[in-house]
Amino acid sequence: MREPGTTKTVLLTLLSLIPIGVVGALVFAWSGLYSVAASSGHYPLVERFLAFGMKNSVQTQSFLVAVPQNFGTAAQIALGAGHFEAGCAPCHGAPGRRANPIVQKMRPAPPKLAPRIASWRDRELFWIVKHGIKYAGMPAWAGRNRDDEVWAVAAFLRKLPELFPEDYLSLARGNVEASPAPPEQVLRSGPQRSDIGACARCHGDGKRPPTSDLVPRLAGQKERYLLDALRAYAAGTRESGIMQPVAAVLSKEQLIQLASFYSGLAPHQAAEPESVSEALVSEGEAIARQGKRTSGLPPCVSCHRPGSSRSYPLIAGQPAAYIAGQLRLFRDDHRSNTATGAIMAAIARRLSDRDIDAVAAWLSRQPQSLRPLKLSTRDATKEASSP
Amino acid sequence: MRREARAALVLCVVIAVGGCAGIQSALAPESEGARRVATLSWVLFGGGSAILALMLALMWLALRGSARMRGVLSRHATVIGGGLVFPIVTLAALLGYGFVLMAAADAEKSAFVSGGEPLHVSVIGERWWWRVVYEDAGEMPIASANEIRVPVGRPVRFSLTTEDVIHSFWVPRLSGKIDMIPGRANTLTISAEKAGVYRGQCAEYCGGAHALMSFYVVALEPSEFEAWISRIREPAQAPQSPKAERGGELFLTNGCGACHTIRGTDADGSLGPDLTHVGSRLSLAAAALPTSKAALARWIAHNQTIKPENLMPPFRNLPAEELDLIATYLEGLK
Repeated sequence: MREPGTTKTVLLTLLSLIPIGVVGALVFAWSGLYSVAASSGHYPLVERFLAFGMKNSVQTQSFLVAVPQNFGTAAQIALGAGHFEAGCAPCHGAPGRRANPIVQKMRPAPPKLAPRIASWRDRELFWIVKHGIKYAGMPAWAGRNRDDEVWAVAAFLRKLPELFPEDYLSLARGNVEASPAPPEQVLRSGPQRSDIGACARCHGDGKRPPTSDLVPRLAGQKERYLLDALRAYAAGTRESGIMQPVAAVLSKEQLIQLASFYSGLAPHQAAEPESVSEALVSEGEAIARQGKRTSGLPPCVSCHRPGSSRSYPLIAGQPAAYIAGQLRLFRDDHRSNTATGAIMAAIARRLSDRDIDAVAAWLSRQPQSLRPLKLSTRDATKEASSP
Repeated sequence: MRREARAALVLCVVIAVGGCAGIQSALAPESEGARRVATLSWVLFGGGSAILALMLALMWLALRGSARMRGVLSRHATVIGGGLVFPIVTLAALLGYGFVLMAAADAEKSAFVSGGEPLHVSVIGERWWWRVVYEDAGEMPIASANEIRVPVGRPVRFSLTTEDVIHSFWVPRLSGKIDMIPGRANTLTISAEKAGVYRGQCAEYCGGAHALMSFYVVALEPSEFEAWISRIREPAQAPQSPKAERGGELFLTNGCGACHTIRGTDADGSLGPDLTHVGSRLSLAAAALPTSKAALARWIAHNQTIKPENLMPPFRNLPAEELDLIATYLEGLK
């Protein structure tokens, strides 16, 4: 046995080391002897330690994320590709294209992604895109409550390693040919780029329809609604990590011109409808045309028709995936910050998942010019209201 | 000190007695049925007070009475008589009185039916308003909301049911309350004795806006009632000014007709109250606001602030001029 005083002495000595350590660290930081230079990089051991911590953090933090059932659809991949081109490729590069040399001098340098995708689970890809990575310069997703968009990017990332440069280009640039700019133009305004804010890449133009069923068809839409939507994106009252960054950099005049341009186009041919049961489609017709009394649902076509308020969009002929996605955002109170969004959110709260799928399926099969059958609605509501 | 105490007592009494009057007081009955309820209430109040006084007196005797008095109180016979016989007799008498009242109500109902064809009105409880249907107002039932007009002296047979949860129909000055149960129709027959405005209230908690689910019963002289019912049988009157006409267009383009009916127009929704004659009703939104142009405009845009959780979406997107036009139109629907 040791003498009675020894244990106490050891403990006291250890305790006194703590303030000495703290003061030492402060003195070290104060001295500026440690270099924060990005040029010199990390020591190999530090580098390994940081990578170890990051990998484990992503694994643990994403543990409870549930991968949605429809993960990996073509529509998600196309939408994700469109955003990747604008939001990710400038730093991470893309198939057939190196990242900006300035960005490559960041520490840590944004990695080339294709070879690394396989080492992450779906939920981990989602988590990184949604939350970003502290101290690494990887930003978090720009729109709150838009997990649907984040999943689209994750779906694209999963696909990324398989893509040859030409596949990538046709996916990411969709409909826009990136013709090289003439030297005169390069001289004045830099090389013509089709990245951020090229609406037509995703939304199409006078000739081509949108690239993804998760992207709304703007051609022939009400001008006022388009302008309201662009302004809401720019102000952040309608949230989207994809549209907010695009709209926020446009001038007031540009917003007006773009709304006017798209509303002036002839509507595109309807998207290929998703195959669903006929029963579901006719259920959707009943809700869209007559509403659903037991759930307190008014008919969609009362407001969503040509000739109604200029702030109410035409929704017939939009892809089912887009309609259903937006209805879920309304229902879950993620699109209720605008005045018109609050109206729709109050109604969408009464929709079941099946109602949403049914209505989306039927509306996607209708022409944009859909109008209510006034007489048939009148009879139906009369029947429903008699006690 | 004494004077203050007396003043405070008088004030309390005045405040309490103030509750006996008013358009929603069960203690100011204006129909046979409500009077029976009021009489029963007074018998209970009186009897209860007398018993309370008796008990206080006995307690005082038990504490301060003479030895002989305490002896009497602790006798076996006193305990049996006061603790067992007295409550049984009293409660049995009250029960008998209740039966007599119920029999009187039944007799009255059949007297009503034999005495004259009652007016038939259906009232359907909704979250959180009252759908009113005058079943025999003409060839077709006439729908209205949140206000029931009845002729003085003529029995009115209410069919009471609900579209969603349990509500309770209570117009204290005209009748006792009766629940509205999903899947069945309860019947209540009322005959108002005096012309006037009576307030009713949902008396069964039914969710968020329950406290703001009220209505008015307006009793009219028979001739006035006939004039009124023949007027509401008509479709909505055409807008009387260019402003009102524009308001009517805005009502339709903004989709209001998806939930509201205005007979004679394309608005044919039936989820919300019928607005064909909304401008002639005393109140908006189940007596949440008195009807006026300003109140209509406020309701359309800010209804969630006025009556939180009600099922109408807030139309904050409408600019003030358009709200004013729509309100002008609706107020003109007399």
